[in-house]
Amino acid sequence: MKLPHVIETDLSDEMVLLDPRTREVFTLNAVGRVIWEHLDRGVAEVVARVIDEFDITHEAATKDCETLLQQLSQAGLISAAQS
Amino acid sequence: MWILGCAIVVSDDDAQLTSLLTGRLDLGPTETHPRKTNPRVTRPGEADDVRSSEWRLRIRHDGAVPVDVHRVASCFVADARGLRFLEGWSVGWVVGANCAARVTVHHVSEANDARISSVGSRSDATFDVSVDVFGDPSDDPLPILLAIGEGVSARPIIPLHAAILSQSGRSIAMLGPSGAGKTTSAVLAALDGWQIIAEDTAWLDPETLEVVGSDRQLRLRSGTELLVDEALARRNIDIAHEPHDGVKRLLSFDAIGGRGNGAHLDEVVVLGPRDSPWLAGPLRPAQVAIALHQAAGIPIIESVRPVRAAAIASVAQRVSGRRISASSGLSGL
Repeated sequence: MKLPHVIETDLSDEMVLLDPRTREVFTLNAVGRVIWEHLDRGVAEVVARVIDEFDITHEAATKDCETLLQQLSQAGLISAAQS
Repeated sequence: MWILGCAIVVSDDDAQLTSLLTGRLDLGPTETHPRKTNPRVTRPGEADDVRSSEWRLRIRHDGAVPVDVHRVASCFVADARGLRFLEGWSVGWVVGANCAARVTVHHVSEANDARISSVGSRSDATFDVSVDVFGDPSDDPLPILLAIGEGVSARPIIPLHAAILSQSGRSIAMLGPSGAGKTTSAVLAALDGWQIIAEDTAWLDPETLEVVGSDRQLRLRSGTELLVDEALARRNIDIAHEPHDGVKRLLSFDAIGGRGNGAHLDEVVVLGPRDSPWLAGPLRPAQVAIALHQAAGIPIIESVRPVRAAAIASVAQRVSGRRISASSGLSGL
């Protein structure tokens, strides 16, 4: 689950995430942005959206989503329970 | 696929700010095709093309107060003729040691006298913001100053720590920490035919892209005087009797041709430090957004933060961006 304090700056093709607590900012590319946008709906839904929008296999999309969710969790941008 | 990250700064420490700006914006080339695999988040310093930073927020008083918000807001309070008590949308509170201030933003301005204006600045920028003050602010005016800055941000107007230059209908916001060369560049640009809208502090309307300045005078850091003096001397402009404020040399706008009233922003230019490698080149919208976040600071009141982010996103997608080295001069402008 997205942590509510994270500030999102949506640039359509990219996403800037700013954590006001750590003062760190992260940028997500188009795929990362889609994952971020839908991550609260669960991994299966996120993977489906990524497959819908990008030329990618289910296996690769699943791996990408899981990897990114883990890294977002490590970055303190999402709660560990949903990562 | 790339997903990059680096640190962000809101600080009044020039050295730290310089370090952070470098780290934040020195992003290398990125893939243009987004449909590939291996997304990842890279922490500051982990990517080859991102530098790390040791920056941390400075705390003032008892709260987490972004100092540059105070700096931007203070120019308003210094000129305010009074604080009015009006009904409106309450944004939030700023609480200090001896008093508290509640910010109220008015969606519709029905009367000009219900505004707090930057009276005295030539921009005459006005915003529909009021601040209710509780307690004794005489020894602790900071909550009021911050409340006004927050209220203006919720309008949403973006406060910018920037020099604004305009020429031939084209305007740029020159961003960079104190010491990066904004003022020096602005003065040299002014001598080269540019008009200065702001030297250090400006307000940007994200809807219209109108940007106005709030500075009353130029403030030159020690060490930049020689460069500026030489340039001024070549134009037979004598500023020998301009005063100091103890830290910086004060220079009247009139000495360099006056100050502009405001302009439509076309481009964001980020100044890199003189003594470190700095790749000149265009900035992606995300990089422009990060630069704007840094120049604006993070709002204190949480409900203002998404408003600010949306405003910056709107601007970053409509203006171009690029970075230049302060040592490269202004030939590229």
